[in-house]
Amino acid sequence: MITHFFKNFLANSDEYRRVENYWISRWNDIMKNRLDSDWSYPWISTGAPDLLDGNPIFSAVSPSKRRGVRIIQHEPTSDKVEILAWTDLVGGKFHDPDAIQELVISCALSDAAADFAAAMIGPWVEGKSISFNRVDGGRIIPDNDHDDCRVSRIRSPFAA
Amino acid sequence: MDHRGVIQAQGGSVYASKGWDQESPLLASTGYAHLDSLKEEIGQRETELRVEGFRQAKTFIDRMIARGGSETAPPIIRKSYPQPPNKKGRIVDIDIFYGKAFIP
Repeated sequence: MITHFFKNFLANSDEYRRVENYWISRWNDIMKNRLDSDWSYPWISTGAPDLLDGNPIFSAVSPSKRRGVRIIQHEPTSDKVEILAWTDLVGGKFHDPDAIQELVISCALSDAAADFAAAMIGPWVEGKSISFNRVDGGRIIPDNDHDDCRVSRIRSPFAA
Repeated sequence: MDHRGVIQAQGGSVYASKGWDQESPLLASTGYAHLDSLKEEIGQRETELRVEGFRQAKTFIDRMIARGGSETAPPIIRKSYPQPPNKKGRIVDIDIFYGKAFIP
């Protein structure tokens, strides 16, 4: 049984702020031994300050690495771990100097989902690749995944 | 140009996009038209796989109209729909890179 946190964050602005702070705290934990990096947050807006839809709930970017992280949080729909991830390009084709390769993680917040997200973000912020095992068309599960986690990667049209 | 962005459908070996790069903010009506054009371009089957994504993208535009348009980018505004994502990776994205969009 998975315990989801902040289940009503979309309906409660105080809860929403606590969720934002939760992800900032997780991010700071990931980055605490990586002080020489140029990663900064936030990177992406929801569209308006009063639009608290979790899309995204957290984002960060490194101009030198041309990489970004975008976390989208949704309300839980089951008592299982709910997390999907994919990579995409923002603002141009792969060889475009302005293009940012992003890791997108969409999840319902639970300890397991957050730990799994952190396990993907850690190597990503260092510029490393993330290993995925293909399961079927369009769905890919990473090596350290377990049964309830699904990670997929969209084949980006911008990729070389 | 001062106002630039793109609406795109991707996933499942499909990629289609409708972009804008213009001197004035994108009208919401043009945003709706872009969604309709994307549906037409990817065809009925792929549209059906993105029904919820298109619905949520339209709702986002509705919400921007209600407040007089999006905030001015940067920071980038980037939305991926549907949320929660469908397991087949069919996605509709709305990106606003510069300026404002979806004004009434």
